[in-house]
Amino acid sequence: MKILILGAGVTGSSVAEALASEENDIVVIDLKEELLLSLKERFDIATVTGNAAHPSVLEQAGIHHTDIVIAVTDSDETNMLACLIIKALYSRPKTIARVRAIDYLTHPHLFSPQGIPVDFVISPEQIVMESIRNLIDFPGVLHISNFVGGLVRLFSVKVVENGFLTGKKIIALKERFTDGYIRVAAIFRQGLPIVVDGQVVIQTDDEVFFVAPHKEVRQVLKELNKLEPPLKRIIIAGGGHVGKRLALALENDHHVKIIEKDPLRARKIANDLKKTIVLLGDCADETLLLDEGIEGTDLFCAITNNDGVNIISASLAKNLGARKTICLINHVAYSKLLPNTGIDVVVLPNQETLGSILKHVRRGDVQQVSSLCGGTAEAIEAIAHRGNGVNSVVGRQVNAINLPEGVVLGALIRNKQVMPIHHDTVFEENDHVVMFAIDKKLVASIEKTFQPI
Amino acid sequence: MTAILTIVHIFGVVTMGFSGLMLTCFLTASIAKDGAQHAFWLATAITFLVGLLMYLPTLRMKKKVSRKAGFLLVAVSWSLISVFCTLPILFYFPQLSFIDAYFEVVSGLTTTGATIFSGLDDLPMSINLWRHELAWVGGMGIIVFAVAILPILGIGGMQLYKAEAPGTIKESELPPRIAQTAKALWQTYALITVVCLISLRLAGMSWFDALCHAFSTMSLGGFSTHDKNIGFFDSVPIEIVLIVFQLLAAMNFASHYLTLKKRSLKPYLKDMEARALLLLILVSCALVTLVLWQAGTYPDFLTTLRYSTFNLVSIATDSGFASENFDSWPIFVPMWMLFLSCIAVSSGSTGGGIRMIRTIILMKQARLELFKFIHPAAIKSVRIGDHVIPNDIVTSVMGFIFLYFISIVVLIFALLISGLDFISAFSAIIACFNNAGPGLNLVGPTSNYSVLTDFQTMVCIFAMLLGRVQIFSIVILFVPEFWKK
Repeated sequence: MKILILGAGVTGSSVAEALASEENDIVVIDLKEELLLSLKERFDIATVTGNAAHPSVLEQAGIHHTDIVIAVTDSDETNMLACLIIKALYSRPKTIARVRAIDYLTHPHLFSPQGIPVDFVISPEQIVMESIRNLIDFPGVLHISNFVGGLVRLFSVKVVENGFLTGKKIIALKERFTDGYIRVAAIFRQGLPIVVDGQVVIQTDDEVFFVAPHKEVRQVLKELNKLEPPLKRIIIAGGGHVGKRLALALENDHHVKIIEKDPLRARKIANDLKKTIVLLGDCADETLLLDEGIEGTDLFCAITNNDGVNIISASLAKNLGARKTICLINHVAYSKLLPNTGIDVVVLPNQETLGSILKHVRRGDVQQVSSLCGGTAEAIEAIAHRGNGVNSVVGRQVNAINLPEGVVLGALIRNKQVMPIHHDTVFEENDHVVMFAIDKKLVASIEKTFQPI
Repeated sequence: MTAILTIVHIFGVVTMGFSGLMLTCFLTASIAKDGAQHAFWLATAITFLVGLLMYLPTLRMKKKVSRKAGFLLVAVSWSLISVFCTLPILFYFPQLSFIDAYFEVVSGLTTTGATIFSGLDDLPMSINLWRHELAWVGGMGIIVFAVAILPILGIGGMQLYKAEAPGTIKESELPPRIAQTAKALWQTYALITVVCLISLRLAGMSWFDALCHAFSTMSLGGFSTHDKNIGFFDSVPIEIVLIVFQLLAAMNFASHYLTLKKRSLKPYLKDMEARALLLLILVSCALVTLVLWQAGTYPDFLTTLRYSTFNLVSIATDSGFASENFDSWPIFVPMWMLFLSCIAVSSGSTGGGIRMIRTIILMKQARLELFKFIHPAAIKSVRIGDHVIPNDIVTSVMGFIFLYFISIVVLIFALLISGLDFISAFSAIIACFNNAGPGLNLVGPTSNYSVLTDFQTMVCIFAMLLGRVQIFSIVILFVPEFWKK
């Protein structure tokens, strides 16, 4: 597939990285040549320097043969305008645009063929905000993402010493939970996936992924003794897009404080937020944290743009007595530093963003993709179609389809109902299937299985 | 020089306008044959001629009014036009001193409602009409003043006016041009006055009394055609009608305008000042009624409720009607009423004092300061509803309130030094400064301001003018920088 990426920023480069390793032809356009040069050095891609909304630049990048355009420049307006121009002049490519401003997002009909013809609008800050919000709603989980419009949730917990899960075989768990509805999707041991079968014994410090209907998540966590007391007093470090949205979403039923170091930005968010206490200062300032009662704080969310600041302030907060810390990290490499810092949960915004873009790039009828564990694993939601391919899953039993080893069936949703999965369950037309691939390379075979034609 | 001539030109127009107003009283006098025809005829002629003399020679001076000239114009119009307005009264009562006549007129134009006349019931009809017309025009003037003049002077500009009534005044909702806004508010004012007139007639007043009282109710003036004020009528329906219309007049007229235009009550709900005003009045009525009931001032509860409610609303809204001698009530009650008169009315209404919006802003600012003791690093703004009040507006509000208190203290001392007792001096200044009307003791509801010496009367006149033009526009004339080229 030929893919054109507009913008070589953080998102643009990680999309390029993810897609370049999947046999796609990638062209990246950006104004800054030095960004493009460093991208070119690392990956097998082509680049064009110039304004991403100019037709001449687009043509130079081969817009005529492009299948998908992903507009992720820093400017909402450039992204939207580029999509408009591409539809008007070249009409062929599917367009995906990143739009941040809530002002635009509150008018969904704006992005219609009559308005600005963007096929898929993505809003990474919103996605990141929602995933942090989920972590706050379900204290104790390390990761949680929604599938099939929120009907099914994939979540992971860390196994503690002498906990409920320690030393259990997976087969024993299956007896414990409502049969067929709740499944163990994967286990990561020391950061590496292990193949799940009934005989695997869960050990301390494993990260166990479950797939469960959304209503059951709380129950499951309770049975695992994982549901911690609710997080009420929250300090957010960083008043950027994500921080502000998070505060806005939480301020009505939590005590939220937000620390921002830029006076102008602090003033602005103070005017936009009604109940949140906006503090001007450095989020790694020990005195400020102590003054604001860090030891009585349930959750410290370090979500500035700077990974270093996030790691330092989150571990400082943990040290000073914050019950729990969440840390946002853009560079996946840094996540390896974290086990020694005491930071509880790491959020990788690139993965979240990547997932929201990837689902539109996937070939089969794929509804959603979640990148997990630093991008090595993926969770996929696909729709089963009859089609005429020999690989079609419709009409076949679960144990008759040849999913490769390392792909686990997580959940089956038929007519918006979560169905139990047994060995003899037969797939039907329009079934939504949630799968977990412990290695990204297995994704291609899943796509093939669910390709409509 | 051209600036002065421009002021003279505009002032000429205003003067001729007032001669037209005198003409209506002349017609009334002629029809009623009340003996004041001569006085009004002479006054109308003189006022018109002087106005014409100022208007014609300066015809070419139609320059835009500069800010400085604007301040001057405000001070000059309020104080000098009052001189012309004394003419009919002086011609009719040759023995009356100019100071007293001037007090009466300023009291009308500033909608204060304090009087030096006794024997109101026996005054010629036309003179009584004149007093009430002055109050009504004064009330109208204040609305225009707030919408049209203050912004030109840049006292916070239109932003201040808008900031003073956040939630109500949205740029998109009021007409875009100042002149249109002023017109819309005038029409609203006139319309409600007509409704008030009809309601008072239905409640049992004569047409003439109803007209006069509608004028002084909607302007929150407080003049009456009777010495015993509203007590003369001794009628519950009249008191209820007056309570309702005084409360309406104490609200922002922009809210009334929007309500009429949209035919929905939503503007009132969004009007934070109106909500605060009603709540404050309700709580105060309950409190005052209980105090009076406990003190056994009146034999039964309903009578207590009736008198406390009417007199409290009347003083709190700065109108200054009285149906009972509240001077003889336990001192807490009249003091509380005077306190309310300082803060209760809305911006954009015809009342005076600090105005509710400034009170709210100041209280929120005080809370913010306390909040900052606990969270020194916090960034927070004063917020009213969804609106954030910019810091410079908060500062100008604090500046206003400081000037307000300083002015009151200085004026009280001026009365004390002239030998007046404390309660009279204190209540007279508070009542005049807030344009409420009756004070306590010597200047209480059963007495009037004619007992004051000329010096004391002048102090009270100054207090009324200062309070009416929101202090700044007069005080600025005493700042040396103002007169430097």
